Amino acid sequence: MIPGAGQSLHTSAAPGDLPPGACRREFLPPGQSHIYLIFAHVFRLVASPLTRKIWLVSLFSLIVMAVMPPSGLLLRGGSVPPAADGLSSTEPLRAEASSPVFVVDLPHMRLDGAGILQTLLLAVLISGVASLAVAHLVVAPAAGLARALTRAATGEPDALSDPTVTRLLTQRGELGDAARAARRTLTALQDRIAAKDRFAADMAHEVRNPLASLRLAASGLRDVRDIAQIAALLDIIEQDVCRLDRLISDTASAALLEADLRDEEKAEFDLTDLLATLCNHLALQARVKGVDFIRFLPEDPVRVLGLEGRVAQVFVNLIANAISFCNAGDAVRVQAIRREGRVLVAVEDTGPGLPDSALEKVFARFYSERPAHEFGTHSGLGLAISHQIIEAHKGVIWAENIRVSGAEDDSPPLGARFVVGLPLWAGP
Amino acid sequence: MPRIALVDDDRNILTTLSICLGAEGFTVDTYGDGQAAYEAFCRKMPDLAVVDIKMPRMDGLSLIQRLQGKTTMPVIFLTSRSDEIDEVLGLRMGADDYVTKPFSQRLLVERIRVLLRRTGAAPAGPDTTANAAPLVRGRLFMDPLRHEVTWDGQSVMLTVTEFLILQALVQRPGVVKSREQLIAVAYRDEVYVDDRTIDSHIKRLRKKLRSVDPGFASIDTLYGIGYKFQTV
Repeated sequence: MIPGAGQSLHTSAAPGDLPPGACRREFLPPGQSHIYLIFAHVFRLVASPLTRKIWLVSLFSLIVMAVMPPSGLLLRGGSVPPAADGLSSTEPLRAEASSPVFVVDLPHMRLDGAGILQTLLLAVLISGVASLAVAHLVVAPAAGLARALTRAATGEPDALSDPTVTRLLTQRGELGDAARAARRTLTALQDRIAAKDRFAADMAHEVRNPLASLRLAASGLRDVRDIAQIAALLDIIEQDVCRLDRLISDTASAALLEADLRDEEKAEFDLTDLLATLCNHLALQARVKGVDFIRFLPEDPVRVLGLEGRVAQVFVNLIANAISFCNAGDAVRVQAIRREGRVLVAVEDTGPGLPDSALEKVFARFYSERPAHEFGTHSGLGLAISHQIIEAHKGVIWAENIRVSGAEDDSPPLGARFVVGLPLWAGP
Repeated sequence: MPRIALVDDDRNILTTLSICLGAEGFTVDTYGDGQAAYEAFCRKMPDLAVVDIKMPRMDGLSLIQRLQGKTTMPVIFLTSRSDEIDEVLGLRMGADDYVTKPFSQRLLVERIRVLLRRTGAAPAGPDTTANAAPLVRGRLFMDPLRHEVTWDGQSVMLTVTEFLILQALVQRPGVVKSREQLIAVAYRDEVYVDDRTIDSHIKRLRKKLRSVDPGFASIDTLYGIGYKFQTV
């Protein structure tokens, strides 16, 4: 694939195009030569705020050296008389003698000790002032940022609240950009760590329920003599072991999901084709339960860019959920339509609907609102995973109750509807 | 026969608990969420309720808040998160208690018996909390049989766990008890109890005793070692 305008210089090796191991250098953006790139790079350096600061300091030093006698290089108005002792080896440059002009007087050759010492002291003083200025404008903020980042690395939560960094955050230029980028990175990292912590806490919480009932069942077996109660406790032990197994397996796959979504290469696929295949398969499951399965899918392909397997996982989860909440005589409908650059897929059922207070909570990890007969068969991670997958595809997912139009908000719903919106692939 | 209400959305916990408590001689009613329990409690209040905190429809905290002022029925909360405990115990500052999942049947039954005895409901079975002789240490009076504590004659309502910890410290004034020793006293056969749990109990104990005597300072902390009770 040939990159378009604005894409950077890079190397690529497409299998089949080149011999194994070969690598081809391509492609400059249209109309840009190497000379142009070098010029642009130099221009960026010259125009950068940091360079401007250094230039200002250098210019200030030059001006000070030029106007402060008795440094060797003097810039002054008018002509300069030759040295009285005639030792000057340099004739002053002159323009017209009648009109005063600025001239450069090259170093005099008087090498008396006091003059050399004075010049050296002045040079040290000026360079010291210049160094301090550079240190104040550039080095100190950079060092402050480095210190703050070091503190942040040790886990200090308010590391970037340091006054130096706070000032940098409002500044233009490279240092300001670096501080803002550091803050963004740190915030993103803190968010991810907090999310992982919450996940671990939620997981611990979820594990404790089956553990509690396992422990009680085990101790109950020691005390109970009734055969029916012993059988019930043994069933519970078996069920709890399955619950724990399911929970751990689902948690492990949820932990891998983030890496998959980040690392796997997205590809264009036909969503109509995918939905048709899934519907064919899941319609059998619905028929076994006596549930009608209705589909309204576009006749032409609907192109989407993404991870086909992961998107399939979302729709399998939604459709299987819909079927599980239905009884014989109920219906499930899958409908896909294009709308404003997106494809909207609605999965509807005529089951009991959702508690209105749970319409957002259903996407939270470990939230579970299952039919009573399905107790212990779900870990409560399915919709949270679906939400994560759809977000990674820049899509949206939401849940709503189906009601007759004009019905009261608290009237019993006719069923539940889950809607997924995905951006259509606009082509390369 | 004391009537115990179990409220939990986990069907397996309800089943195992009701079998276990039934074997201990209690009459048990089970409810799958706070709403169902509230409706049943409005008709007939049980002698004690064992309530899970996290439930759909109406959670355990909402259930107890709705019952505030209507009953003094003791409640034992089931929790699986240590960060829920302060909120739970802050609700009524006294008669309630909690156990952390996964808990032992023996621990729960002990807690139930102590709370029932405190409220005057008929004791169901033998008392296993041992050492029933009253303790007097300076201004402190403890009656293990009734689970009563007074400081300067003023009653202080403690959870069962807090009572057991204070009792362990008070039995030998001036002697340091390590966290492990206090865990053994308060939790007996629990598989794992975090050291910090004891610190939280001591913090709440001090707070309750300071509510009747702001100058209370009889529980000393020996950092890294444990706690001791000092009679002034």
